[in-house]
Amino acid sequence: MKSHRIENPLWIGLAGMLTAALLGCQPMRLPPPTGDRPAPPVEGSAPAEPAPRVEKAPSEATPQLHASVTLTETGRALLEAGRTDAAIREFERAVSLNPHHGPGYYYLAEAWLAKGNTSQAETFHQLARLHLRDRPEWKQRLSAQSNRLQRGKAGG
Amino acid sequence: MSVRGRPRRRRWLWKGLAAAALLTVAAVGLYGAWLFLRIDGRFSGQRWQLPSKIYSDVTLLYPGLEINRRLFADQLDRLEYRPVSRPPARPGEQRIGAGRIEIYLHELKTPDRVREGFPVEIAVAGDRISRIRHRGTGETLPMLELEPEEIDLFFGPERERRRLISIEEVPDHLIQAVLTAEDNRFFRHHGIDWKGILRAAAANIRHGEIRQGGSTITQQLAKNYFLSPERTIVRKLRELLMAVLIELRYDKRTILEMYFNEIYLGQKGSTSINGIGEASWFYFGKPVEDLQLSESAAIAALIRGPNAYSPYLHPERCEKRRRHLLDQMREDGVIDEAAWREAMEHPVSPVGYEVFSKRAPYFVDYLSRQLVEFYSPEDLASLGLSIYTTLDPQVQQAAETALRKGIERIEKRHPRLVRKGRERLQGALVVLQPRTGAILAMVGGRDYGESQFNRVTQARRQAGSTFKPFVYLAALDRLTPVSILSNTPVTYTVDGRTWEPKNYSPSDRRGFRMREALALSVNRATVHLAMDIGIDKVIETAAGFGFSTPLPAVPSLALGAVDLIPLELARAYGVLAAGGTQAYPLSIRDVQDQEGRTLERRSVTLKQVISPAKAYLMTSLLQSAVTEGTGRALLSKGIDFPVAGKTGTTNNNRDAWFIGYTPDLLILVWVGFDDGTPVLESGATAALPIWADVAAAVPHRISGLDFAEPPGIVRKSVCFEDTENIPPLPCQDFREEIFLEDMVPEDDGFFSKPGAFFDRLLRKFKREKSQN
Repeated sequence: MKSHRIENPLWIGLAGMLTAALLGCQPMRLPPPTGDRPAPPVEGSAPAEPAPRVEKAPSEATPQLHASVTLTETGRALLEAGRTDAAIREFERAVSLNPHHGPGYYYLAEAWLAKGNTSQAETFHQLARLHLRDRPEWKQRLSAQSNRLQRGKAGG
Repeated sequence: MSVRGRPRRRRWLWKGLAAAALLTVAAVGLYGAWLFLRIDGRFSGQRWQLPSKIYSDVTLLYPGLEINRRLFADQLDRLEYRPVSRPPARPGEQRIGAGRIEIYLHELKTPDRVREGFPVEIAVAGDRISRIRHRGTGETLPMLELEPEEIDLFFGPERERRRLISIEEVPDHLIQAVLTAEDNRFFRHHGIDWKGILRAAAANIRHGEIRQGGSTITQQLAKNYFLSPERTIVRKLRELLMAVLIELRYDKRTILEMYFNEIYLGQKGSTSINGIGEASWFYFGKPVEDLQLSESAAIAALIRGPNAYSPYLHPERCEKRRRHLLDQMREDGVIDEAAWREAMEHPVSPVGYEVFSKRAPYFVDYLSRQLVEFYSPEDLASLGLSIYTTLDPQVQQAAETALRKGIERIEKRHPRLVRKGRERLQGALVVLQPRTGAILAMVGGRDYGESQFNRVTQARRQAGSTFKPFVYLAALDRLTPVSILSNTPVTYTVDGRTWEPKNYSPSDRRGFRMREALALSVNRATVHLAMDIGIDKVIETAAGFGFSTPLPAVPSLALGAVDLIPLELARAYGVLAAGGTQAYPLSIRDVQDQEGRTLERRSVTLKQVISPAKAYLMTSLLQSAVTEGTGRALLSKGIDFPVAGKTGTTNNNRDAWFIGYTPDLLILVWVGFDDGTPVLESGATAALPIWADVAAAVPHRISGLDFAEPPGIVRKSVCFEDTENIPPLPCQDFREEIFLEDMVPEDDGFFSKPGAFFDRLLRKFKREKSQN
C-alpha cells in the first residue's frame, strides 16, 4: 500500500480543509486498470446483437490482449458458422490469455445460450457485465443478452 | 475265401474309402468354414489394437509474447522438429538463429481443425516474438499454433505403436518396393505362390535347412494375425488354407492395406513400430504419402529384418539392402532408369527419435483416473482414442526442473535430510489457470519411478498458514484491513487440554492491523480473529470453497490445523485469483475416436463463490504478504510483476508451502516428507524459491498485468497512527487503504472531513490536560 508522511502538517492541514470545503471530500479512486479496452464495435454504429463486428485492441494493450482479441474474433466467426463447440474453445482461450477480456465472456454466454445451457450462459454473462461495465457501447448488447437469458430460463 | 465274397469286400473297401474321403472333405470343409468365420470375424471387426494417445494443449505464439528460448527449443525437439543448417524446406525441419526461428510446421490436428504444415519465420527480439511470417506467402500472422505434444500412450500388453493408413495414401513406388521385396507375383496368385514355394524348397534342400518360406503377402498376413511363429508343417498347412480363404474373402488392395498396417517394422524403446504409417514417421518424420522412392525402398527393405536392416542400428546393412532392392525393381521394370538413378544417388538418413519416456506421469495418472470412469483399460489400449488435455509442456518441464532443483538445494543445506528411495524428501507442485481451472502442469513427487503417490491429488497435508486467508475472508463482513487484531497471549481449552497459540516470530506488540497480521502471518492475531467471528463462521466460509476433507471446529483451525488436499487448496486460492469464481479443475478437454468423432468435450465450468470485491480485497491483502510480509523474498528472486501469495509452515516444519498467483496463473508448491519428518525450513525458504523458479521460467504464461479492481471497492486514505495513544495533531501517517463499499470506516483522518480536524484537536487538548 502507498504510504505518505506529511512533512508540514499545519500548512497542509489548512490546505486540506480548504480543498475539502470547496470540493467536498470524495473517496480517492485510482484510474481503472488499463489494457482491457478493445475498440468499440463497428465504429459509429449502434451496437446491434449479435451482429458481426471488428474488434481492435488499443495500441497500448499487452500482447495477451491483442491475442485474446484475435481469438475472440476467430470464435465469433465460428459461432456464426454454427460451430458452437469450436467457438467455445476459442473464447475460453481468449479469456485464459486475458482474464479481464469482457468480450470473451460475452461471447461465451452467447455460445452457451446457443447450446441452450442457460446456467453456463448466466455465469459468463455476469462476468461479461463485470468486465464491460465501463464500456457503454456494450450496454445495449448486455441488456439484450440478459433478456434472452431470462426468456431461456423461463422456457426451461 | 469264396469268389463271391471278393467283390463284396472290395465294394465295402471302396465305400469305406469314399466315406473316409467324404468325411475328410467334410472335416476340411468344416474347418475351412470355421477358419473363414474366424477370419471374417477378425477382419470385419476392429483389426488392430491401437493405443489411445494423450496430447498436451496446443502452444500459442503471437507477436509480443515473451518466450523461454530453452524451453521452446526443447519443445521443438520433442515435437520432432529436426535442426537443419539451411532454411527448412520440409515439414518437421527447424533452424534457430539469434534473431529468428524458422520452422516448417507439421500438420496440426486438433478436435476443431486440421491445418496443413507450412514454413514459418518467427522474428525474436531479445526474448520477445516481434513478428510471425508465413514464409510461403510472405503474410504476417497474428497468431500461430504449435501442434499438441504426445505425452503418453495407453498401451496394451503388445506395446504396439501404429498409425493406420488407407491404401489410397500409399504411393505406388512404396507398393512396388514392398512387392518386389516380399511377393512380386502378388497380383497373379490366389494366396499361394506355388512357384515361390518350389523356389524356396529348392533353396532349403540346397542348404540343408529351412532358410526361405516362400510366403506370399497373404500368407504373412495370416501368420501375423492368427498363427504362432514356430515353423511346423501343420502350422504351414493352416497358413496356406487361411491365405486361400483370405483371398476368397477380400480383394487384393484390401489385403495389401491390411498388410501395410500390420507388419512389424522396428523398435522404439520398449514399444514396437507396426505398419508403414508409423514407420514412415519413425524413420523419416513424414506421412506415408510424402515418402520418396529412396525412402520407400528402405522401408520395404526392413520387412525381412526390421532390426537387422534398421537405418538406426545398422545403417550400412540397410543401405546395402536398399540398393539391392532398387536394382531388383529396375530389373523387374517397375521403375525406370531415371528413378533408379535418382534413388541410388540419395542415400536415406533417418530423422532420429527420442526413446519414449513417460512425460508428466502424475498428470497422466490423474486424468487416467477420470478416463477409466468412461473407458475400460482394454478400450484405452485398443480403441486408438485421442485424448486432448490442458497440459502446457513448457510449464510442465519448468515445474519438474524447479521442484527437483529446489528439493536438492534443501538437501544440500541440510545433509541430514538426505534419505534413499521412498523415504526421500518430497515435493508437490501444480500450476493452474485460475480463470478456467485448466491444469497446466502437475508434479506429484520428485521421481515417479520411485513413488507413484501423487502428492498433488492424493496427499492430505496440514495446511498451516496457507489456511489463514479463509479466516480473514470470513471476517470481511465485520472487519476491514485497518481493523486492529489483538496480539495478546491467550490460552484456550480444547477437550480438556490447554493450548496457547504462539507466533512464528515473537512480537510484543499488542495489536496488528488486519492487513499486517495476514502479511506477517501473525498466529495470535489470527486466532483472536477466528474466535471473535466464531470458528463456525470460518468453517462455513471455507466450506464454500469445496474442500472435501473435514474442517474441525477447534481454535487451531485458524492456524491451519487441518489436513487438505493440495489440489483443493490450489483451487480454493484460484477463487481469490479469479474474482470470486471457482473453476472446476480441467485436465481433459476432448476425447476423440479414430474417425475424429468427439466422444467427450469438457468446457470451463464456473461457480461464483464470493463476491468479486471480497476476492479483490483478499488478493490485495495477499499482495501485501508478498511485498511486505512473509513472501517478500520473491522480490529478491526477480519476480517484479504483481503477485498475491501466502507462505505456510506447519508444526515442527513438517510442511513447507507457498501458494502464489497472478491474474493469469496460480502455482502451489509443497515440500515435506511423506512420514512427517521436519524439513527444517519454512515455506518462505523451502517452497517459495521453487515457486519463483517456475514463475520466472514461463513468461509466456504471465502477462504481468495487475489484478483488476471490481465494483464494490472503495479506496480511502486513513490515519494509521497507533490509536491506543492519542495522536499528535494532525495525523502524520495517512495511508491509502481499500474497503468493501459497505465497510468504509468512519472518517478519522485529517483530509476526510473538516470536522475530524476539530475532533482531533479536542482529543489532543484533553490528553494534554490530563497529562498536566
